[in-house]
Amino acid sequence: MLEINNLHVTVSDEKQQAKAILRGLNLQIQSGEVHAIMGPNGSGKSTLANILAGRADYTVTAGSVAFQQEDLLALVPEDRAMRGLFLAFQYPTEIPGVNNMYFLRTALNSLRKKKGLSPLDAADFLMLVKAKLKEVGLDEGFLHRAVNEGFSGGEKKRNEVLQMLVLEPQLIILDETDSGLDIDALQMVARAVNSLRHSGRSVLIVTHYQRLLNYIEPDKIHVMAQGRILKSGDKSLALELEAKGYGWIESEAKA
Amino acid sequence: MTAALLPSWLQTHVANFSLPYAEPTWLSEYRTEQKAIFLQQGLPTRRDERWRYADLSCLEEMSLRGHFSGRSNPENGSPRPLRSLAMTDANTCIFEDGCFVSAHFSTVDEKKEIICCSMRDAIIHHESLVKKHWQANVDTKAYPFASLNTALFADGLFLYVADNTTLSQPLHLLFLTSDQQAWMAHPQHLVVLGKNSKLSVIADYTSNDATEYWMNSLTKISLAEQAQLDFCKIQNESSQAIHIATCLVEQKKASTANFLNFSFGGRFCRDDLTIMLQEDNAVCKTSGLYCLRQDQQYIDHHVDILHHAAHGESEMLYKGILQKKSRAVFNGKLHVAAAAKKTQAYQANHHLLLSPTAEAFSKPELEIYADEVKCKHGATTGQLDAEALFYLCSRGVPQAEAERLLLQGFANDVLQRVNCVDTRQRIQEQLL
Repeated sequence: MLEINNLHVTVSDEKQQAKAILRGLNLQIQSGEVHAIMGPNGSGKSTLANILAGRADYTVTAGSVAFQQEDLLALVPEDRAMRGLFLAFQYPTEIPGVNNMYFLRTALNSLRKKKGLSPLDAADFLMLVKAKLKEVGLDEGFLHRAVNEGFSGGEKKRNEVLQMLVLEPQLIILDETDSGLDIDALQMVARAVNSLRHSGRSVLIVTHYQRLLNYIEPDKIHVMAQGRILKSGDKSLALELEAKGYGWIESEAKA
Repeated sequence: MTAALLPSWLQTHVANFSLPYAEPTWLSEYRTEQKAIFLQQGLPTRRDERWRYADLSCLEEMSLRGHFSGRSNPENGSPRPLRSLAMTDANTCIFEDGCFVSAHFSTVDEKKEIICCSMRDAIIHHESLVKKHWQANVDTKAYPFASLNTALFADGLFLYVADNTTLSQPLHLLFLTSDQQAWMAHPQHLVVLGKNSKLSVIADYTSNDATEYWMNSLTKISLAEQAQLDFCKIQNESSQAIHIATCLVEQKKASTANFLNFSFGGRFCRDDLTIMLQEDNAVCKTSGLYCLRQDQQYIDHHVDILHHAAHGESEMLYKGILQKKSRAVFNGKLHVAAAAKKTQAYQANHHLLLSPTAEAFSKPELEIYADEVKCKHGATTGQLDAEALFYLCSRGVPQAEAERLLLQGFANDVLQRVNCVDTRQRIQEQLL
């Protein structure tokens, strides 16, 4: 599904100096697998998620990313989405004046067009989206508001999950979707992701906490620090991190 | 004193102007006075703060004729409105090159309590009404083109809505142009709303092709106690046209006015809207959306709202989308007199620059002499939000579509103020 080889990424800082964020990152996710990436602040986790979605603020200086055997980095963001990549943002953008439902229908219909399916009209779309709204715990009023405008932190995250459920992507990347959520919302995210778990679909969870992983059991856990993956393991690694912190992995890697 | 700046063709035209028909003495005296003032003042220069960005050299290059097509017999070949503009439910008034041609009312009832005719007819048949609402004390220094208009006007709309009268359908004013070249028109319109009356107007300025002309209109509007007016102007003049419009509004006690202005056409457009809230509890909302798509296209909005009485509310919300090497000016002046206690006023002007060569100038002017007032203002100039664009694209929306959504989003709060759904849709489609 996803194959990242020796990825090096820089971002230019306030003084226009290139600052390395990812320094030789390798990661492979097979179809049907759920992976989690954990790591201290500033380790490059969110950069990785944004690079995969196609954010323009970064420069890839070396390495490659293949998504379903295609060169992902050569594609513009909308083409990545049309091929099934979805990033649930850590801080979803507020877009005044753009209707939430109209936006989501436009997005779905452009994905459907790519698959050769006919577009859904407003009525059919409303039917589809109403059921999903219930799953994420938003009421219908949110559809008629501007995208994320004035939504609380939790409502924004629910709106991200709603988009995920409607667009049914092949590769789901959750960028700290669990941060700032209460326990009910956390369980809702887990239920939604688990309902989409499927042999043809992969998930990459970027998180600080082991908590979400109690509800979504990952196949693999990676620990990231200083722009690369220092250690990988199964779900027991998350418990170990929760107990011992990240320090031991960093010193282990230096040794 | 230095000689007035005035292109010789215009000077000659104004100096030699005489009406082809008779008019009452009070009017001809007023006309003569305004003519003298205009000839003495000349065109405003860029040293004048109100005209600082306006390059009126376009008027120097032209040589235009005034004409009185004045269609004495409207049955003879009145222009047909463009199919796309015809509104099924509306009452319609048609103008050609600034002259009143005909009025059509959907039901006879609508016609009973109102007078809707050409200004020329009104001066003959409704002289006392015209005189009563004339607003003769126009600041000629601030509105030089209103003086010119008064010196030269030959026609326009006279609309009178009697007390306690509500027009159930909007009145659609269609300003069409003929295929003649190089003309100028100075229509003067008078709109009077009686006590507790209600009217909705959609004024469409449209032209089929790239004809060169100058439209210089003056509209005087008066709202009696508790009158309600919705006035939506849609300006689609030809790409070679000069459009100068002065609108002077007087509002009495507890009257409400909503002014909407959508501007797309013309190469030089100047729009002055001045509203005087003369009595308590008057409310006015003004808003505008302008989209400039051509190099050298220029628009200049001056909105002056003067609060003279207590408990008034006013609002200005103007937004511009600028492409290529176009320029936009917005000047919003709010004057709150000492007597205008408990005034609430809000002003906002936002520009979206879609090209590095487009320019926007925004100037709020607040003069507040009263206590206990709430006044807010804000202005922004920016580009399409890259974050928002990325967010939309990351969901699979193609870039061009995402940009369209953001433009619509930017325009949305102004568009939503258009009550008539068909009209709103028509403007929305024009935006794309």
